[in-house]
Amino acid sequence: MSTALRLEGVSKSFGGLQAVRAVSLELKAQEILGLIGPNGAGKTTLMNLIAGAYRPTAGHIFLGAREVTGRPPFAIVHMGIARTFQIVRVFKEMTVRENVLVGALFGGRTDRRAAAERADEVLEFVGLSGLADRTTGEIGLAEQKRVQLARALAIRPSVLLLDEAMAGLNPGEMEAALELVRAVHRSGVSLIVIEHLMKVIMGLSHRVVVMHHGQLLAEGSPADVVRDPQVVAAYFGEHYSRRRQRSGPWAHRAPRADTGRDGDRAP
Amino acid sequence: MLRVALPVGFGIAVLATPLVASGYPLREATTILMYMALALSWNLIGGLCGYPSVGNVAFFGIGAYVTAALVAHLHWTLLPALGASALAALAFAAVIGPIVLRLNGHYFAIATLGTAQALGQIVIMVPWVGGPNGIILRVPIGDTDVYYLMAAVLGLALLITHVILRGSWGYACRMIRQDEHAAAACGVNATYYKTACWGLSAIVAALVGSVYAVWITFVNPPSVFDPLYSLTMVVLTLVGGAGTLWGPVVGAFLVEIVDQYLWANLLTAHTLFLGVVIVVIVLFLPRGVWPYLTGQQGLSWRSLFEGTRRLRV
Amino acid sequence: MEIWPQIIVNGLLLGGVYALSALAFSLEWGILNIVNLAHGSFIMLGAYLTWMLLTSPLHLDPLLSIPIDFAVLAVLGFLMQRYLLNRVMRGQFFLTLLLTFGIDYVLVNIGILLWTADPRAVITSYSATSLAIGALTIPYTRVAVLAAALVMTVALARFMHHTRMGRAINATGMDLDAASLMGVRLPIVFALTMGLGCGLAGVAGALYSVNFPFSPQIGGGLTLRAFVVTCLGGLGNVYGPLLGGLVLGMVESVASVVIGSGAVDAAAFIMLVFILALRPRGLGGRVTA
Repeated sequence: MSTALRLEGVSKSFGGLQAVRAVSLELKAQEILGLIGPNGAGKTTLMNLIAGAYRPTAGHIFLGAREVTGRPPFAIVHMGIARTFQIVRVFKEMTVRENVLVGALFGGRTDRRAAAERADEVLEFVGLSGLADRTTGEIGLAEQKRVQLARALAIRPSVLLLDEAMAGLNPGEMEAALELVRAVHRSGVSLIVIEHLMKVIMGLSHRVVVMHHGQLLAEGSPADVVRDPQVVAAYFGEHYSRRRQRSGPWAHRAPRADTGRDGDRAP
Repeated sequence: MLRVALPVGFGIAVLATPLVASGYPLREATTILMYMALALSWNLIGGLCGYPSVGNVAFFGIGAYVTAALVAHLHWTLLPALGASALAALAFAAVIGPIVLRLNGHYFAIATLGTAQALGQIVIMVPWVGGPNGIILRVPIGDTDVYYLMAAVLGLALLITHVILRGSWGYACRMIRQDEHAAAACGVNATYYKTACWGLSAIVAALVGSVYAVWITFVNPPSVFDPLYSLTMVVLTLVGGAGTLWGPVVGAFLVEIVDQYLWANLLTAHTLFLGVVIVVIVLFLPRGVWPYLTGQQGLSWRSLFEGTRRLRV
Repeated sequence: MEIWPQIIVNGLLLGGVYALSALAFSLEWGILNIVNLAHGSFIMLGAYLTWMLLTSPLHLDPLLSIPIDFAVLAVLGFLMQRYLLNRVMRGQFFLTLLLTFGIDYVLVNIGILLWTADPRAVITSYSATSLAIGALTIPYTRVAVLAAALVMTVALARFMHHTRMGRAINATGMDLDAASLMGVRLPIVFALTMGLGCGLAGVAGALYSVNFPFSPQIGGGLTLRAFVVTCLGGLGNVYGPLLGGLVLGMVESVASVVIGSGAVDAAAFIMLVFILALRPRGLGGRVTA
């Protein structure tokens, strides 16, 4: 399987604060890679580095065979990497269709007519055709997130970075969004997904990487990663990590309804 | 209907004015055209791109001074002098642009203000352009010719704005104005677009300054680097509707008509009026009058008070 | 050669003036994200109020009128924020900028109508007195300004960090919505912050009136310098204006001797553009995202 995206020793410091330390990872083609980690681990910073919003202080990033390190964000978009933002950033004064249109126009670099066609296509795909002429600032958050996604898709990316796309959605909306992400994946896009919700990550990702304090902590299949004692220690503290090793209770946390509570039994 | 009737009607009105007016009214009309063009020049960078420059008078002043110097000292003829003025302003914009366009928000506004002020102060110290005394120039040109020259500059400004708004350039500007980071994430090269708008804004303002110099036959730092011009450009555009094609034109017309009346009757009320206009516009008509004229917004007391409801804390 | 110590002293004392007048401006910008272009005119109002109190039958000494100046202008600022500026706080920053600009124009013109454009001065028995140390002349009134700048800065710092209201104000400056969720009533806190800022401007005005002639149009230059000082000292730091003020005072003092008094304005502007180009954070400011 070929590599869609490769990071080699990427680091980023802001003044004295080192947000990302020597991260090396690989996104294989047609893969969904989950990126998890406690708050402040550097996940969004890593996204920003890949998307070009920040310039790495060290390391290299490759899209396929081409290097994208240090290029301006718009150029990286043209090369085929699209992203969504944690706090949704749509053009509130433009209509839904226009939001998606400009994605095709400037990201996909097509002419007006082709862009308009592409926009309608994508709107259909994400199920927003009915809202196409509404002003984006006036629709609900779940729809706005979809617009953001549609806009990213209109670019025809080979790699899509989703930053907490499920945040703020109720369970029904989340199911629909998950279906959409799977459909996007089926259309041939490789994805890196940042999420806090275990259910989403477990059910969606082929592989998972865990970040903590700016470094990669663990990497592997979802089931392996959640059992990894270091990961548990990072999320819950050393105490729980030791207890977990003895009773191995993570098996029951398969992609099903998440009670949100620790299903611990007495040791 | 408005889309066709307005430009045509406007064009006819502008071109026909010298046939019915002369002397003072014609000069008033020239002033109105001048402010329309200046408002449009600000609109390019401030209205379209959302970068509120408060220093566009710098370009105006450069245009005026370069034309004055070339005509008075080097005996250039009019049109080459106009061209050179535009180029000079463009050069200045190219130097300052990369520095200030990196800034956002308040910083950009004040940086542009500071630059224009500094330029005005520096010009005072340059003896070749007359220092504090300025330059007197004479071009054999009458009131009507000046009027048509100003109209030509206005026409150019309208044309530039129209071309930008029609195409994808217009979309890029709107995206930059609303959310520059999101625009970059869509593949928009923001630096390119905003610098281009900045440059065009400079050219238009400089051409207005050039015609002004030829018209008034006298330029000096306090008159052509007066920060009041910068402010006025902003206010006129906001009154009419920033980011639109006709907004600045309408705004300039409305404000100047009232202002001319005030000047004639109550001298000291001029800046007070401007201040009140600003306050009223910001509180009640943040999008200017244009949305009301195009029917996008219905006129009612409620709409005036609700205009800023989303913005309230 | 012998004039250099005097130049330095002048610079520091001038810096005190700038620091005091910028303190409020920096507060308003840092907490409310409002660049108050009417700030200089509030200082002007403080000066005129002091003058009026002095020339009234009360013959109130300028230093005694400071509390009154603070109170009157604080109320004015509170009302302005509560009923005008609060209406556009969530909009593009440019709206508040423009609004304060419009208010500034109105204030200046009302000033001209009320008091004419002629320069005034507040003369007291101690106006022209100064301390003489060797060849140095140190006017008492200027020292008073510098002292006031120091005192006000420290007082403000204590207020912001050690009182409930101060911390509420600080919190809204950091995160609007979070503060609101914590029960902070935003419209009132904003209005109080602006009130505090304008009150401080009033105090600055009182002290300004004793040191310099003033007219309704002094606002512009004062606001500009407040801006430069705030940029120099960095936003988000109560001690920033003090630092920035002293630096600007020194620069202007030196420039006026080396280049000439006409260049002083240009020097301030050029410095401003340089700071913005090279280090927008200023000398002591925090990093903004």
